[in-house]
Formats: sequence, C-alpha cells, structure tokens
Amino acid sequence: MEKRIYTDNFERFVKESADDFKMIPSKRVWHSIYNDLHPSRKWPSVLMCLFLLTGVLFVGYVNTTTSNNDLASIKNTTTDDINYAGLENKNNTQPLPSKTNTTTPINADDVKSNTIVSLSQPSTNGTNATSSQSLQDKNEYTSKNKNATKLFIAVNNISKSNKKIKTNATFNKLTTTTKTSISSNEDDVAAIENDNLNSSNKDIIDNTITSNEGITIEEVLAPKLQNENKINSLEKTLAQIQTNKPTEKLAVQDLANQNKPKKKSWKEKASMEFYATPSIGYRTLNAGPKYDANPFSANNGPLPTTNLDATNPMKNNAALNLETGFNVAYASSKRIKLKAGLQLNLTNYGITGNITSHPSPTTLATINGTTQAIEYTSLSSYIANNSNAIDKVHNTTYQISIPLGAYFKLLDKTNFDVFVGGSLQPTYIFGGKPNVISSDRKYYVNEGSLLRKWNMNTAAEAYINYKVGDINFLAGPQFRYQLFSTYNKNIAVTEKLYNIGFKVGVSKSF
Amino acid sequence: MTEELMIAGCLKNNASAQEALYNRFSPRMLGVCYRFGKNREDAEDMLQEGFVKVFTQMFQYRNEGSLEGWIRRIVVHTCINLLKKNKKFSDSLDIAYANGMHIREDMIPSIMQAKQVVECIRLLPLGYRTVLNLYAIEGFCHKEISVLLDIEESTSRSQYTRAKAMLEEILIRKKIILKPKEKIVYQAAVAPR
Repeated sequence: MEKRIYTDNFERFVKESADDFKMIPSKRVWHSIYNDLHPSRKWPSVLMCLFLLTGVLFVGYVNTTTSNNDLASIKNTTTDDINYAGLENKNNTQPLPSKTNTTTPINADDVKSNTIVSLSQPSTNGTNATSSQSLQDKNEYTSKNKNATKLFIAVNNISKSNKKIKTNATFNKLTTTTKTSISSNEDDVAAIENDNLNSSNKDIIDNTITSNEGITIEEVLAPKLQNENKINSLEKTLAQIQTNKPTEKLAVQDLANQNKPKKKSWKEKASMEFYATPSIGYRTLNAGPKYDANPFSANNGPLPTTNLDATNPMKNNAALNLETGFNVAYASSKRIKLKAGLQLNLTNYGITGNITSHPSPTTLATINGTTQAIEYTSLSSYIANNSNAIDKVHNTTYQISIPLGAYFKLLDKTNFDVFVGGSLQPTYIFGGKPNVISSDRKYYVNEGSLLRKWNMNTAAEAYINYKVGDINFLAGPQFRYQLFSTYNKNIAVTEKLYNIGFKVGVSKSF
Repeated sequence: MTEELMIAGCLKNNASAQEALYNRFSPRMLGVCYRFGKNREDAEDMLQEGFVKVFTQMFQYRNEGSLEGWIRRIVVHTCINLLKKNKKFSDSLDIAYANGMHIREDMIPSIMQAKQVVECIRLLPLGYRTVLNLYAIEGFCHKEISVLLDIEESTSRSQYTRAKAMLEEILIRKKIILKPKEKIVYQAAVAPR
C-alpha cells in the first residue's frame, strides 16, 4: 500500500481515497426505486393478494359447509341404523320406545358398534347414549337404565295386577286380567318378560296366578299384601337407582336443551359485501400552525398565512375519485352491524396552470421555515397569468385502507332495510403525484417523497339494503374525510382531502 | 448502453434504461452516502431517495458537465436533507463533544486504503464529518456549506479545520499516512522539557 507523506496534499489524498471507495448496494434498493418510479406495476401484486385472500375465504367457507353436511349424513345414517323412532322428530318430547327397541333392545355391544347414538330422546330400554360420552359411560348408562326400567315396569305390572285383584275377585278374572295387563304392556315389557324380570317378580305373578283355585277374598288378598311389600321394596330400590344416575339427568337436560329455540349461527349473522363508490373529491388547503410564508424576507414580500385558497392564483378543480373493496359484515344484534374489510382508494383533484419546460428554483414552506432551494427545484407547473392557464395536472394518491365500521338499522321492512353508520379507515398511501404549492404560491412541486405514508380516513354513510332472494343490493350516499394532511410532517401546508360519493354494492350471506 | 441512450430512456421512464443507469453509478454513489450516513442501512436509504430524484428530475439535466457529477450533486443534497430531517446533523455540532472524543486504535478496520480512509472519516463526529465531506471531497466552498447546513461561514471553517486535524491524527495513528516532518521537529523540541 502506498503511504502518502505530504500534508500539503492531505485534502487531495483524502478526496482521491474517498472517490475510489465503492460499495455494492443491496437489491432491495433497486426494487424500492423501481416501485417508486412505477407504482402501477404494484397492481398485479395487490390483485394477487386480493385473489389469495378471496381464495382462502372461499376454501374456508366450502370446507365448513361440507363438514356440516357430513355430520348430518352421519347422524341420519346412525338413526336409521338403530331404527330409533322419534330421534329425528324434534317435536316429539316424550320418549316413545318403538317395538323394534323393546323386542330387540340394543345392548352394550350394539352401542359399541354404533359409534354415534343420540341421547336426545331417552328411552325406556336405556339404549341411548350421547356421542360425546365415552363408551364406558354408555355402558354404565345402559346398564343402570336397564335395571331401572326393569324395576319400574315390574312395579307397574305388579301394581296393575293388584288393582285387578281388587276389582276382580275370581281367579279366572284375575288370571285373565293379569295376563291382559302384561299383554297390554307387551310392547313395553316384552323384552323384560323374556329375560329381564327377575325370578322374584315372576314368582309373585306366577303365585298369584296359580294360587287362585278355590278362591276366597282373604286368599286372594294374601298375595296382594305380599305384593305390596314387594312393591315398597322395589320402589325404594328404583328411587335409589334413579338418584344415582347422572347420565339420565343429562339425558333430560339434553332433551330440554333440544327444545330450546335454536341460536343463529355466525353464518346467518355474517355476510360478504363488495362495493364501489364513485365520488367527487376535493381538498382543504391551509397554512399549518407552523407555516412561515416568508422564509426569505429579502426576496419575497409578506404573504397572508391563513387562507391559502384566497391567495392562490392557481385554479384547483374537483375531480372524479373512486373507492372499491369488500368487507365482512356481522350482525352483532338485531339492529347493529359491524363491518371490516379491505378497500382501494383513488383520490384526485385537478390543478390548472401552465406547464413549463424551463424549471425554476422554488421553495416549499417547511416546518422550520428554511429554504430547500436546491432540494426542491422540481417544477410541475407555474402560472404567470391565470387567464392563460391551459394545462391541467392531477394531484393524485393511491391508497389501501382497512375500513372498520358500525352501522345502525333505522328501518326494517320486508323487502329492504335502511342503515346509517360510519367507519374509521387506517390508510396506507402507496403512491401518487402530490403537487405541493410553493411558499410564493406560484409553483407546484411534484415530489413523491413529500407524501405522508400513513393516514386516517373517516366515512359517514347511509344506504338502503334491498333484498332480492339471498342477495342484497345496497346503495346510498357517502361522505369521506381525511384526518391528517396529505403531505409529510415537514411540510407546513396542510391539505386534507374529502369526497362526496354514491356507494353501490352487493352482499350475500355465507 | 451509452449515457445518451440511458438518459433518453430515463426521460421516457424506461425501466431498463433506469436500471442500467442505476447499475453504473450506484456503487460509487453508495460510497458517497456511506460517508454521510450513520450506517449502511442509512446510506442505502439515502441512495434510494437520491436515485428516485435523479430519475424524476432527469429532464433538468442539460448535458452541461458530467452525468456522474450531476447525479452526485443530487445524491449529496439528498444526504444533507435527510440528515437535517432526522436532526442528526444539528445535534452533532457540539465541539466540546468532538474535542473530548477518544479514537481507539481498534475502531479502525484494517482493509484497503480507500475503505480505511472512509472508515476513518466516519469515525469523526457527524458535524465534522459532514463539513469535511462537503469541503474536501465534494468541493463545496464554505459559503455554500453555510447555506446548506444553516450555519455561519466561520463555523464551517472552524469545523473543517478541527475535522481535518482529527482525521489527520487518526490516519497517522493508523499508519495510513506518516507524521509530517515539522511535527516531528516540534515534538523533538519540546521533548527536553
């Protein structure tokens, strides 16, 4: 390495060394420059994002619908398989055991094979079990319920037989009545007759039947007394079992729950809206609190600092603006609707002046009031004589925002609703052509870096929601206002945009 | 691609012409930004803003002087404006702070000379560094510097003198340059005391 000795040439040495120094910038720099210079090329990526977002929502919607259908088909299959009467009949609040169930009761093994068995209708043979219950719970429930049912029916039958005994004093009648009683309850107890009645119950009945020859009242009443004792003990046992069966309580609760009015699902409350709002856009232009209209007192005369419109010789005109986007609306109550979505905004207004090809240095009123004479020589247009102003430039911004709103239903008619509401819209400004007025009001400086990147918009609107089948059409006026200045914090001039437009859209429930 | 073609393409907002111009000049311009910036990220931000201005103001270039000089001037102004915007510059003109600053040997990287010199410049306080960059390297006069930085002309001069002395000391300690003879004589003269 060459060593430089001469101090006299120190500056030259430093300059040459510094001039030789190079660094390779990262690719991010070029991409950022490219995006700044060609903002329109961002649209494909924005559209792709919207497409992906819509795709994700659609896939989510389709999957949810499919899973519900599957569940319904499983439920139907299960109920058909177990041939359980009244399972699908939600109005049937009473347990109605079918003949199939009583003649061929579903035992624990059957429950195992049927993975989903609704407990919505408790049955006397105790074959119900909730799909959420474990298999063990199902078996316990089945076993307990069976026992309880057996005892219950046995007690009933014996009671009935005793009543018959009271009214029918002859053995034949008693026998017939007892048999008829059992037979009339055949549907309920056939299974129990086969194998569920315990031997003591059978004995009672058999004894009653067989011991009625040469009949006397006492003889007839003797077994009745015995039966009453048995009944008492059986009823005690039944009561004991009933108090120790939480699953049956659950079944009752489930039954009660089933008969409650059905809650609306989120799908019934939510809807998707697509809309567009063409509008007329203009701006307010004011000197900010720190505006210094006369940073170079020697060059420029003093200028008023309040109403810039009054001293601005340029013609500014309102122009067409557009908002478009989509949102998801959710009815949080009968009258309140909350909305959130994604929106693209194009804001615009016109400036009429004379565009020149001979740029002149100009200054912008910055917060500190100092000149930026070299920095801001970019000249868009100027005016020498307003009557000859013929060229038009547009003050444009491209924005993406997330509207978050709340709407109140004013009218609720059969075919249409009327809503009023508003939204806050955090907004990112990703491009545009701001023409910032110079401090002497003669020029506009077109400089992208002067734009504020983040802003906040507000919107107030009223619209009619017209219902046509599943689809709703909405239309109504909208007012939109920008809360912060279009320009960044270093620019003393504040410009706030506003739009008056008409929103049209379409919405559909999920 | 020749400079004329690049300029013509840039005036038509042609992306490939812009990229060609960027590829040709960006390494040297990033070196300029690096001298002004706090770190590489700062420098790249300055470069980005500078080149956006270059492309959007290309119509102002009138083929008077070299294209590189014109681009460099825009980039330098962008650097100054960003420094002023971030208030880095005005906060760093404290001379007392600069005088008390201690340059450690290990702060200076040992790489190629250009890089070494630039890194030594970057060791200076921001105020010193900016004035030295503008005066010694970018060729501004003190009057222009005073306008650019909103300081007195005399302040610019004194800042430069101190910056130069400090940089010289750093370069000598790093043995990038040798001590001047008169200083050695001076040291020899005072040694017997």
